Amino acid sequence: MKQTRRQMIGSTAVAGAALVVGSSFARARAAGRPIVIGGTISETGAYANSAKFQLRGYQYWVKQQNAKGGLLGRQLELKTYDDASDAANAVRLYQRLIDQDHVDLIVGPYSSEVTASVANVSQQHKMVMMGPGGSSPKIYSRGLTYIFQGIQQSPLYIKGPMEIAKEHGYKTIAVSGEDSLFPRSVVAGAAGYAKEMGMTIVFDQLYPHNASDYTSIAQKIKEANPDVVLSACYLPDSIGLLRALKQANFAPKILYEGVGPTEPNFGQQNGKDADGVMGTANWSAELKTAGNAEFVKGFTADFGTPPDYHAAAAFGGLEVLGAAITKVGSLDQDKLRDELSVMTMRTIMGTYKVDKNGSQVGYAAMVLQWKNGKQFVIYPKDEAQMTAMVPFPSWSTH
Amino acid sequence: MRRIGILVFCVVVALLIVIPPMANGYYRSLFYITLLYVALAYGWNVISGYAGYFSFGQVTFFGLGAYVTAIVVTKTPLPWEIGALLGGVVSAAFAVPLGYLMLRLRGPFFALGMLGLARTLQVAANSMGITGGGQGLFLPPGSNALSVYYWTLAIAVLAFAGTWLIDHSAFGLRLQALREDEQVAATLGVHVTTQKVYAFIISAAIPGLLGGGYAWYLTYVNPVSVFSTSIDLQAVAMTILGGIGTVWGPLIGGVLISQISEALAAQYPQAFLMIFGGLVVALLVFLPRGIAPACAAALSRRRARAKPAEART
Amino acid sequence: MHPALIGQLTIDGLLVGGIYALSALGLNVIFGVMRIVNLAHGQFVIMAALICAALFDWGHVSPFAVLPVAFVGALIAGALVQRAFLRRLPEDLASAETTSLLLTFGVSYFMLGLGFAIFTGNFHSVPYLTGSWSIGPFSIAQARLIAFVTAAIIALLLAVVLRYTAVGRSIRATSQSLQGAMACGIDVENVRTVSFAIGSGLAAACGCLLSTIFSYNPQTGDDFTLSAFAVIALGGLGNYAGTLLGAAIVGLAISFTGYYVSAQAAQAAPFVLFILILLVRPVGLLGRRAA
Repeated sequence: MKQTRRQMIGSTAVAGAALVVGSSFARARAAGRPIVIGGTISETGAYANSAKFQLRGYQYWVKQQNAKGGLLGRQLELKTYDDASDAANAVRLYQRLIDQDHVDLIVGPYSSEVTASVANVSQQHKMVMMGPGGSSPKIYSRGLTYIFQGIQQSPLYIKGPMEIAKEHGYKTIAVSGEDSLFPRSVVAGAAGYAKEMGMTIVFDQLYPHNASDYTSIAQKIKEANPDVVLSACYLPDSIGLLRALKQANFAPKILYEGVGPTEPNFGQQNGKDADGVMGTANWSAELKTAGNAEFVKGFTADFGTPPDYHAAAAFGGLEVLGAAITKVGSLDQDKLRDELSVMTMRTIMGTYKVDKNGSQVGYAAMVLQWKNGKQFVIYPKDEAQMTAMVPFPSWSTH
Repeated sequence: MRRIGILVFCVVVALLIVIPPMANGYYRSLFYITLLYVALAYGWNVISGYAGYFSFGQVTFFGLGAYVTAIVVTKTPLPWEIGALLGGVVSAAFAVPLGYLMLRLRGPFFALGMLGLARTLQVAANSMGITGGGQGLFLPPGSNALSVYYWTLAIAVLAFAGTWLIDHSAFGLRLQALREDEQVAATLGVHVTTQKVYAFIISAAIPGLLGGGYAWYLTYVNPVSVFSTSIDLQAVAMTILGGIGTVWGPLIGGVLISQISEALAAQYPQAFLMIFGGLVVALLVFLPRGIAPACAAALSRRRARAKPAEART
Repeated sequence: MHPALIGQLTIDGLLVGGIYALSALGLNVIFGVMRIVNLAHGQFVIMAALICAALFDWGHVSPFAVLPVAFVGALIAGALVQRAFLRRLPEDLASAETTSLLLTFGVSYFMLGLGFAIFTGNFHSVPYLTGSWSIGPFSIAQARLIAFVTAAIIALLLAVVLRYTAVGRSIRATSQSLQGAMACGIDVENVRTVSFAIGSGLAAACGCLLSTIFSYNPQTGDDFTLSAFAVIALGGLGNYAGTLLGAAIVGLAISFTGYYVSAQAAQAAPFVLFILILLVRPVGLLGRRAA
């Protein structure tokens, strides 16, 4: 036993020493080597579904940019790790990317939860981070100066459906959604908008992350009998809630389900039931933004599946970062930070512009609606591809 | 020999104190997460390894510690260390009534009862105002990972030393006695309930103390992340692979699994899950008692071969 | 609190409970005979559900048609896990419970990785029979009712097998007393394989039934292991009638707390109930005290 202990301690010490030696010899940076962009993506875990599109958005931009000659005369390379949808993993892996792999640039992870913790790493290492996965405003209001929002601010999402409701003279609203950082921030402003628009909230209750059965919440919404249901959902709960509402045989006049309905999967999973459901589209394939048509075509050809808004936001974020680098003429992180804070730029997502916190104020949140198995933008008016299909059809006519 | 052992132990601890300020942020994080899991595994080992009460819910106290710290830091001007300490104290205090209640259950009932408890606290954190509900709590950014590291190192060293003491004490013997047969232990004069509750308090205080550091490290806590069952399952897997109910098991299992996972998980996530699962199965089939006891047995066999005369005396 | 609402909540609760019951019965057959808690159970459920989703996407194959195939497939997979791994663990009683638990934990990780590799992390839910029937003031979800009825038929078949066949009798004998069964000349090793196979098969059957009801990806498997545990611990480990009672209680608890308290409370309700009941009756509602 004693011998075991000694050997064990010996080998631990050797391992420890090896780590120190390894870390103190930072690899020399060879000139002309590719610019490495690092990030973590949730390839497994709760967020694996949407995160995959974000990764493909990054990959596609890197490929496009390399075809155009890269940046600053250097080719680009993307290095990503799986954070398993866990913030502690992501924090460590960003440090690994920065300290160990010596990446030149970092890009944001998926989900507001993970971005919240990782933003602190970018701050400590003074590296700019474009966050296409972090829509919750809380992330940006903490005094961090290197994080930039590459996606619409979530409290804006429900403004569109509420204005449509107002136009049609609907008065009562039920508010629901998943009780976690991002969905909460989506519905946070509901009371304020309702007051502004002269509507009343007759039901306001969230359900927990990972809920598997929505029967009770659907039953309660039915009892409250609102004109409008505004629920801040991800994909799984948007399917669950829709089905539960159908099974409770309750059809509101307007049914809005957060970001769930933007996923192409929403249509496949729900078939005809999807018709009439509204959701937030931070981006749409039909959008006339700069370079959007080429993006959709190229992306679809490369991955065999059309992009969703996560892919577009990732692509758009890198468009901005790339332009900033070209303008600054180097990878100097402080100069990039200054540039990203003030620049405006037309991207596939719309016009990039941030406020003093780094919160996105340029991208507009659109509302989409499903009709005959397809998504159409219905709000704002100048981007609309069809007029809103209101009221939501009763279940027997679906 | 023992003196050499203590000396080497001191040297390793000294290295763990001296190295991280020189190492980069990544190694600091890696050392931190390894020590965190080693310490969690030691915490779990007391109630489950020594006392034989297999728990799937010690993360209850980890989450409690994290939330106490987050609340202290966001609502008072006190430093996070005070919050983390308080988290440990609250966890230990909470463990007293809970221990009397829950330790009446046995085997899988206790294991899953504890899991249910963790779920219940998760829901509580999700529903209360002071915890920020599902939105969670944001701690001030710009945290110093080094202070979290030293905090965790101190707890890991204490947990290790504590386990060594338990292993060599009458208390440890009493726990093992009740693990083998509670009724026999009771008839032999062991105060079964009191001993179990003591063990439970130790197994609660350790994760309680660690939770605060985790909150400060992440700068953000929410009910899903700090009450996650996977934190428990990892500590359990580490302890059992290393050797359950041994002084060295949690350390060996903790270091080994953290390193394997660090080397593979981030780059080959699907393959990692399959390899990890396969490795667990293979180790159990071939080394069912864990690595530490297997090493000890192999060494004593070798010693017996090398010195047959001495071994016989 | 009007009667129609209470009736609706009762219907909803019992329908969900019935489907939980099937997976819990499978877990309980395994526990009864082997005294181990199979942590990979939920993975068998999810794997079957994911296969249903993939087949529905591919050619609109009904999950009810997949059910018998998935059942047989899981039967074989379960038998393999028992034969290849669990049987090789040492019989030493002090560590048997923990090592077998960890072994199934390893199997569940393996299946999780496999699930992600084959089906990716996408959430699935089969859009089949999504409507509901209105009967008086109540609306009854089609998929849930049919799943419930199917689950009831399978449970009945299980009861028949356990009661009237030689295999069933040896399963019950081994559950009651390992030594007794061995003394009677029952091939205990064989009984273990059969029960692990049946348990896994029931999990897969349950997966097919709930493929139309919930949305899931490989990660959600653990939730189904947990809920099945809560159900069998409530009713009493190793007690089949208790499992049905436990499932009904869990279903009703979810539906009533979900309506009258909150969705958060509904998620914790099975566990709170389970702790409370265990504190009063540490062996579950219908469990027997160990000899």
